[in-house]
Amino acid sequence: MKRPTVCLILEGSYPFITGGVSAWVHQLILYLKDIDFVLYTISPSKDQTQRYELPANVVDHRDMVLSAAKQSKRRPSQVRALIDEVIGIHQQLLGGKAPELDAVIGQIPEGYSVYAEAIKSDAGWHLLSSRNREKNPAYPFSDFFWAWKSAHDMMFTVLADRAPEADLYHPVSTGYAGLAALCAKIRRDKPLILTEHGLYHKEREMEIRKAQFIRGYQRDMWTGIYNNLSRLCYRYADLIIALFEHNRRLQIELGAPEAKTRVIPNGIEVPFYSAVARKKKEGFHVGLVGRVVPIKDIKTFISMAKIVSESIPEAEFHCIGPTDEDPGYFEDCQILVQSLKLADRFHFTGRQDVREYYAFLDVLLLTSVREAQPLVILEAYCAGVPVVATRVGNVAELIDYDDRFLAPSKDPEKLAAGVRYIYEHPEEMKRIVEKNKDRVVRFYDRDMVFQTYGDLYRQHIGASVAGGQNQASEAG
Amino acid sequence: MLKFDFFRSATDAYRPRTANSALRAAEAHLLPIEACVYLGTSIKPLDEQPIDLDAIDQVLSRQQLDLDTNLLLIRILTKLLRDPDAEVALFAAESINMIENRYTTRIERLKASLQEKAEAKALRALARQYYELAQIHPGSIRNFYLREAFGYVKTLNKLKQLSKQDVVLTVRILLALDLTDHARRIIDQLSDRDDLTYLRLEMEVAFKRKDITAVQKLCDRLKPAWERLDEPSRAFLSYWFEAAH
Repeated sequence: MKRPTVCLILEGSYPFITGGVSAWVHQLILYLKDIDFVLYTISPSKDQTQRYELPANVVDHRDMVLSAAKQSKRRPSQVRALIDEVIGIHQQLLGGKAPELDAVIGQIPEGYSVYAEAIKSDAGWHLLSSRNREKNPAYPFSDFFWAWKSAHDMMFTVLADRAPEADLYHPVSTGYAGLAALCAKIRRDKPLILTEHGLYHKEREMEIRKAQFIRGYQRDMWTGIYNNLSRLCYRYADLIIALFEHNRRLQIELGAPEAKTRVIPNGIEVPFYSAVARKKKEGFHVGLVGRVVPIKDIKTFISMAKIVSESIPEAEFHCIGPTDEDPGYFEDCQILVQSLKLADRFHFTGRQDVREYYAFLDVLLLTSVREAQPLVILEAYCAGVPVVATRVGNVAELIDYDDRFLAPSKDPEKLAAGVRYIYEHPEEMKRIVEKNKDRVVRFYDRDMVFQTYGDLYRQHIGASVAGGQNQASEAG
Repeated sequence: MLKFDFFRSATDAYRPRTANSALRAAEAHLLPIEACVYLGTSIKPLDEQPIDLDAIDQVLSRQQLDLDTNLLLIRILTKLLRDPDAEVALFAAESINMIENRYTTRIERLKASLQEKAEAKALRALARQYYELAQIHPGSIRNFYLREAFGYVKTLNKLKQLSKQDVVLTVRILLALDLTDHARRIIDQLSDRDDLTYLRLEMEVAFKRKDITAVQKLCDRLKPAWERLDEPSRAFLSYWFEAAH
C-alpha cells in the first residue's frame, strides 16, 4: 500500500534556521515514521546552509527562492480576462473579504510570472496607477511603484512556482507559505491543513513597525498584504490549527471559519523531563531558560534579581541559554549585573543541558515580552519546578490564571513578588507543582500531540481520496 | 470661511492620515485646505482615554523623538501594559522595547566611534543618551543608566572638555541620583555663578535640597533678567515668581 505523502511548506525556518518551529517540524517528521514528507521551503536567497540532518522519511526537498524571477514560455491564454479577475479580487480584498482565487490561479500556468501582465498590459498598468491615485496621490509615483514591486514580486514568484506532488499540503504559517499551499490545493485538488505557531500577520506587522525603511502609507500597504495573505489562507484551509485559544480567536476575527479551527498545543517529551531527579541545592535558585535577546527581556530578569536579592539574601540567579545572538545586548546585561552588584550571584551559563538546572532550580522565571506557547514552562512543570512569568501568549492559561505567579511585561516588582511567594510557601508549592505536572502529562505530551497530527493527516487524505473516487464514479 | 462639508461627501477621496500628507495633497489641489486644517488642529491629547493606538503608532514611527515625547509615550505605554486585551498589552511591551532599542542602538554606534577616537562630541552624546534612557526607566535599572551617563561626563571633565551644557547635565544626573550635596558642591565651584543658566540650575538644586528660602532668593535674582530668559526657563520660573511674590 502506498505510504501517504505530506508536503510541509516552510518559510524561513526548517531546515535552514534553528528555533522553536524548526525543532517542532523536525520532531514531527521523526515521530511520524510511517508517513513520507516532502519539504517545500521558501527562502530569501539560494544555497542556504542546512542546520538539520533530514530524517529518512523526508523523500524530497524543493527550495523556492523568493527573489528568483520565474521564466516560462507558456502564457495565460486570456490576459484581459485574467486582469479583470485580479481587479475584482483587489476590490474584494480592500473590502476586507477573502475572495475566491480558483479562476485566477487556474489561469496562471505553473512556472509563469504574471509580472509582465501586471506591468506591460494596459489594464494591469491602469490598476497600478489608479491604486496610486487613490492611496498615495500626494507623493511621487516612483515611491509607490517600487514599494508595490517589492511587495508583489514575491507573490508573483510564489504564484508561478510548481509545488511538489503530495497527498496533503501542510503550511506551518500563513504568508508566502500559505499562498504556496493554497495554490497547490487549487491546482492539485488536495487537502490543506494549516498550523500557526505564532500569527504570521501579527508578527510581520510588528516587524514593519520596527523597520526604519518602511514609512507612511507603505506600512499600511505591507500590513494589508500580510493580513490578506492570512485571510486567503484561512479561506482555503480545510483545517486551521492554533496552539492556544487566544490565537484561535484572533484567527476567527480575521475571517477563519470557526468550524474549521482547532487548538492543538505544542507538547514536550514527558519521560525526558519527568526523569529529572530533583535535589535541593543550598540557597534559593531562580533560573530563566532562553536566549539573551531583547524579546526575552533579560534586563527585567536582572532588575527582578536585584529586588529579590534584597529580601532573600541566599538567592542565586541563572540565565541559561545562548548569549551570542545579540552581543551588544549581552554586554549591556553583563554591565547591568555588575552595576547592580549582583556579579557574585547572577550567572550567565550559556547553552547548557537544561535538565541539570531543572534538578535544583526553585523557580523558573519567564520575562519575555512576546511568546506563543513557551515550552520551557511545560518542561519546568514536568521536572517539578514552579514558574513565575509575564502574561504573554498563552502563559496565563499554562499558569492556570493564577495571578500570584503572573505579571505584566516589564514589571520586575510583580515578578519579584511571585518569586517571594514561592520562597515563603514551600508546602503549598509542593501541591501546586504536583498539579502542574499532572496537567502536562495529560494535555501536553508530545507523542500524543504528534499522534493527533498523524490521525488528521490520514483522515484528510482519506476523505480526499474518497471524494475523488466519488467524483470519478459520478463522471463515469 | 472654511468649509468642512467635503468630509460628508468625499467617501472615495484620498484620506491622508497626517497633517503633513494633507498639506501636500492640498498643495497639489487634490484636497481642500480644510483637510490639512482638520488634521493639523486636532487637539485630542495622546494620553486621553480611550487611547488611540494608531496615533501612538504614528508618533512612534518617527525615529528621532525628543525626551519629552518619549517620556509621554512611556507613560501611556506603561499603563497599557496592564490592559486586559492581550494584544494591546503586547503592543505596549513591544513599543517600549522599540524605544529602548533606539537608544541602545545609538549608544552602540557612539561607543563604536569612541573605539577609534575619544572625541568630546561622542562622549557628550553618550552621556546624554544614557541620561535620557535613565529617564524612561523606573527602579534600579534607572540608577545604572545614570551612573553610566555620569561616567562619560567625568571623562569629559578629565579631558577638560566640559561645556556649560555638560555642567548642567552633570548636575541633573546627580540630582536624579539623589546626590544633592555633590550637585551643590559643583554649583559652588562654578566661576560664573551669575550666568542665567547656572542660576536656574542652582534653583533646581536648592529645591531638591528643600531649601525654599534659597529658591525664593534665586527667584529675586532672576526676575530682573526676565527679558533675557528663554521660553522654557520663563515657563519654569513663572510658577516660582507667583509663589515668591
